[in-house]
Amino acid sequence: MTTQRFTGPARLRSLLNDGLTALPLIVAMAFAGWAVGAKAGLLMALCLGLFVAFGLALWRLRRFDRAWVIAALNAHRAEMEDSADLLFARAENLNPLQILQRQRLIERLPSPAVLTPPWRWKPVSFAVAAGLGIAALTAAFVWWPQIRVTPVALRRAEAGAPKLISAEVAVTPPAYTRQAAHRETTLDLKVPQNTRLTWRLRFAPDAANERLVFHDGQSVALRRDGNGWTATLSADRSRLYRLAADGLPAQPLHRLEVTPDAPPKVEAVLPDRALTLVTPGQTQWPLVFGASDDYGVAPTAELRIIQAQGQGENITFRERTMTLSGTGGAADKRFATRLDLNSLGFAVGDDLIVQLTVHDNRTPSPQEVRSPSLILRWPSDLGAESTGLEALARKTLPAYFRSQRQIIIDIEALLKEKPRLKPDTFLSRSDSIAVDQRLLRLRYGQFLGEEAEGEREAPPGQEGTHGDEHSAGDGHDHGESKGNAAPVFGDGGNVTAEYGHTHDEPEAATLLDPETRATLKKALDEMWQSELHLRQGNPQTALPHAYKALGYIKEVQQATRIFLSRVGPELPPIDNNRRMTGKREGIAPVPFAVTAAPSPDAPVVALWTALAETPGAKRDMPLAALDGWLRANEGRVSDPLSLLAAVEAVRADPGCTSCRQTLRGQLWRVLTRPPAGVVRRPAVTASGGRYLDALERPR
Amino acid sequence: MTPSVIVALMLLAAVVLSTARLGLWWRKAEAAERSLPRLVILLALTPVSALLLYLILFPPRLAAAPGTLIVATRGAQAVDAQAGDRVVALPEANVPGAERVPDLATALRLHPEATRLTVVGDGLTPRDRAAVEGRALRFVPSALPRGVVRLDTPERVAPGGAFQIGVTVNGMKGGMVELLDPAGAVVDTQTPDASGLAVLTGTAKAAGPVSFTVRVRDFTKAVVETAEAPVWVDEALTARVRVIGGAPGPEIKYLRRWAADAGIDMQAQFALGGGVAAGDAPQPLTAATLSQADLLVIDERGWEGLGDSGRAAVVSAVRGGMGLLLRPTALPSEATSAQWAALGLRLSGTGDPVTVSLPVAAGSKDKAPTVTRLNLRLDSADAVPLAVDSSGQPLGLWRAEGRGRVGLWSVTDSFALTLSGEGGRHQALWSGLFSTLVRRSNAALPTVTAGRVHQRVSLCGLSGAAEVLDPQGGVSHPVVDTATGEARCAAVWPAQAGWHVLRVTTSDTVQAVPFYVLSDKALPGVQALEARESTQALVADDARPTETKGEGRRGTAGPWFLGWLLVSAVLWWVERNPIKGVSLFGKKARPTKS
Repeated sequence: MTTQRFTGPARLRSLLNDGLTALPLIVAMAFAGWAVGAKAGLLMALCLGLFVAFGLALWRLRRFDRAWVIAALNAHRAEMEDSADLLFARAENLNPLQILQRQRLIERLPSPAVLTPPWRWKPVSFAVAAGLGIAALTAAFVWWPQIRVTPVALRRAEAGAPKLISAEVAVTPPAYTRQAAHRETTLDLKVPQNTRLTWRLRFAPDAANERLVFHDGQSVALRRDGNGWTATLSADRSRLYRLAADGLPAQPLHRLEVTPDAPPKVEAVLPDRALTLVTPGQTQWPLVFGASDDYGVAPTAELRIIQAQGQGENITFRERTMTLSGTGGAADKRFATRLDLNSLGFAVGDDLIVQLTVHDNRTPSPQEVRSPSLILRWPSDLGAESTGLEALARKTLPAYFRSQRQIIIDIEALLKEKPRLKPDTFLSRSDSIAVDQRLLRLRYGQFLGEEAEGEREAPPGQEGTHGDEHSAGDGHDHGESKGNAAPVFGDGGNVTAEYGHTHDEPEAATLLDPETRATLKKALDEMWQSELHLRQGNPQTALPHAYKALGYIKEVQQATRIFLSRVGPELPPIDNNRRMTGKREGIAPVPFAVTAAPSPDAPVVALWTALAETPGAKRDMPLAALDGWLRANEGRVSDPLSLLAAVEAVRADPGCTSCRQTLRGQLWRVLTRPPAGVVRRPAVTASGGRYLDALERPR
Repeated sequence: MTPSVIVALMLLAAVVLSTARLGLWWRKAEAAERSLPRLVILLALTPVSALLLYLILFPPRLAAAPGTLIVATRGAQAVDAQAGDRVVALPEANVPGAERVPDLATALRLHPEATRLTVVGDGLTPRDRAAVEGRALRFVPSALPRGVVRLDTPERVAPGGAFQIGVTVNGMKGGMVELLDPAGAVVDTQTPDASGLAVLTGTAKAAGPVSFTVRVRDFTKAVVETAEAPVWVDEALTARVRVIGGAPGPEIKYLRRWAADAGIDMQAQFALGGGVAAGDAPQPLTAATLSQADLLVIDERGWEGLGDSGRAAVVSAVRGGMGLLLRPTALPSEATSAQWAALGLRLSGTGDPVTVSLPVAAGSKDKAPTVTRLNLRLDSADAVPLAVDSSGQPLGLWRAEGRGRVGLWSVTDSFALTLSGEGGRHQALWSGLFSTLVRRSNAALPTVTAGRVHQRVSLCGLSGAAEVLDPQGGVSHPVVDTATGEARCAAVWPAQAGWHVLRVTTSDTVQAVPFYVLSDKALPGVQALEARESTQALVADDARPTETKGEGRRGTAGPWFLGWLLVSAVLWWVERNPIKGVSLFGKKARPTKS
């Protein structure tokens, strides 16, 4: 006989009773948990309730054991005759009498249901009532403030200082940025330039004279709008601001950071280098530009085409403009075209320079950016490219011959003095002018390839070092020197060089165009005449020729092109006899005082020094001087808002060590590096001095 | 009569008295009361009790075995002690089972027999180093920690000047070291060499204390250690420099511009010949005027124009401490070369201009700036390069001449650096040249050793009233130890970390020397290396015989006390139960009631 038979139904009934009792309480607890802590609260309360209820129920089941069965049978059934324990005793331990009694009991054994406890509705109803009570209390505590609105709460709040209870900023970026208008709940803002900002602030209790105070002193008053306050502003530059109102405690600083519209970026995709040389047979020039902008690139762009034609100094420019339309996204476009070189009239020696001008979509004034210039060059055959600056640095030899104008002046002076001069003096002076005229004629004659007559006068200091005689091997010998070279058929182009004698300077002869050559020839002829008459002692008749020569020379100078052959770089050696023989009176040293450049950031240095944790230093901080400096140098500071915020933090709490360190770090960015000075070596020590002296002793 | 003898006599007297009392009691007692076992027990245990009491008061001395004293210091891990060794742990050590001692001197007093010491761990702190004093010492250092083990900050930095911070890191293969300026921007990054050394370069901007940061990253770029590198930038000093040249030129023009901006008092004069001079108002060149100058910059034409007496004055001024910079602009004449060779700087060569490039930082993508130097071979037995070019060839040399220095500089167009946008480099170059050669300062500054909180910082050369200002504004007045004699040293034990200023006031000057005090937690690797190196220096194999032949240490009294308590309890029991005392022994034999 097992007790299980009796305890099983009893345990089940007890469990059901307990479960029914616990259920309303668990539900109420779960509700309370949800009200306080949403999902997490609900879960926690549910777990806790189930755990506790299950534990209690299990603990309560422990009473249904063997003793309980025996006691219950004995108590409820008189026919058990207080011998129910025999039922569950082990048979081998019983004496015959006990076995007999046990047999009788088994026959009378009632159904197990008699021991099942009844349904207990009373605790269940209590539990339901308690659960409802808990739920009602919870609802009352959690939702009370929401339900009972303003009057009491407001009256309570009004007792203290005004407090910001809600802040909202409507951010409306300019339309061209194509950014959506949105609302921010923080007062630290980062917006595109010219964004329209509308603050909506609510204070409790309501404050008066509410305004936004900017770090530069500007302040914007807020208007009353319903039960809040509002102000509208267009953000044009980065600033710090704080809220202020009568009776409002000091508010923290907020950043209003404005990001300016960046100008578009243009780069040449094709060709990938600035200078391109024409390939043989090229008829088209493909061009591709990439343009990007932070908000948008204008759909069209202008391509400026400059064609440079001509050589040397005679270059003409032709400029025209094309409009290109871009492809691609709004903020990233490509502009491509192919230039037809034939239709542009591109020829040998020409340069084609193109440049793309791109706009962005900023309103009202779009920003304009030009691409780097791209050059297409058709190299001319006329020699190598000039490297430009080479001749500039050359030390040139001064011309030691007189100008035509000087000769005229000399002739006129001679004519004026004629009555006072003896005839032979007059003749010799006329002759000396003729010498000058000759030198000048020879000089200009070089440009026409004329062979110099007689001996060319060398510059002073080089007498005798340079003759101009023809000699073998000086470049224009007659053909006999080449006698051993076999004549080649068809090589007739150089007949002149072989058999003739051009008497040209190869460079100079080809440099002058025919008109210039003719004019120069006329000038030389006039010089000839002038010299002739001067030699003959007739400066009077020489003068008109000299004037004519001057006129022709002026014409030649005004001609479009003239090339002078290069002059040698050698300086004449210093003439030591003439050195330091001039007058030196009145030469006084010019004082060239150098004054130190003022430091551009003296207030920064002063504040930097004042902020240092220097033992024994005074602690007054020139913050006002820095404000002035910052207003003047805002462009130099990469992040002025952070610097300002650090300054404000120190101003608010001068004793705050970390604020001072932050400000010092910000100042370090701003400080310019002064010129490095001299570091003195420490004074010599006694032993060091003795050592240095001993080193010198053997000398 | 030592206390132990007195106590022994007293105890002996007590034993005699109690034995006598027992004998009297035996004689008086009736036969029935007499119990022989009880008497025997009392007679036997009384002297035993007295002896034990004596041993409680004076425990026997421990056997004085000449073992090794193992001293565990900070970072000590496992201590392998042989038989006979004793292990003591200093306060920094954390070794379980070791005897804790407050310092090494205490440990040595507790174990006077220990003539051989074995130090394990990082090493001895300054507190314990003096206590070693002649004992044989073996040192088993523990591994150095990862990170910075040495940090050398510059002693003197001028505003605008560049400075170097030497960092030695341990266990950082493939790592790198960064220098951060006070704004938190990385200004230099270096990879430590095989020995772990990296030299970081920063620039000072304005005078005053400035805190740079050294950050160590390992090969995964993870930050291993961040250490503060405090630098004190001195106020800009002025120097009086005279320039004598044969002709004005751009080199001098840009030199004057830099000198004016850097606060250097420069006087330049050029004798153009024929009595014509250019430059500042000419000053005579005499021993008196040269003693006022800190540095003389002179070219070969200026040198030739000095005349014999002028040159003699210059040389004697250099021996007296003035700096001299010889700046040839062309190949000097034979006579000038000979005179310069007499100053120890020989030059030979053609003197043609040669373009050389200046060194650039490793890894820099910038093109190396170039300058022109004269193709001269500079030669000297005992000279040091003033600056080197990118191939390591010296651009100039200097050597000590008497108390002054004389330098030879072969670059002729350093101004080109300014024109090519390297103005900072021009300034740095000349700042280095001038700082090397300029006359030493006259007043000797006090010297201060590096220190940590609660460690001794010694201040020497205190020629006047000294005071130490701490970061909190407190002032202490160190007293000069007269035993240090001429050095005039004092010491302070700073209580706060940060910049301190030693201010020495004499009748006519006030000298201020800033020094930085590290906190005791800062730079643990540096502390470990310092302890290791100092302890290594104390290592000695043979002990100097110590005369401390003192008494051995007494053992603990605990066991003796227990024995005495037991014996006294038995005595008390037997004494209190005269009859039952006998039956006490028979009690167990009595059959129990069942």
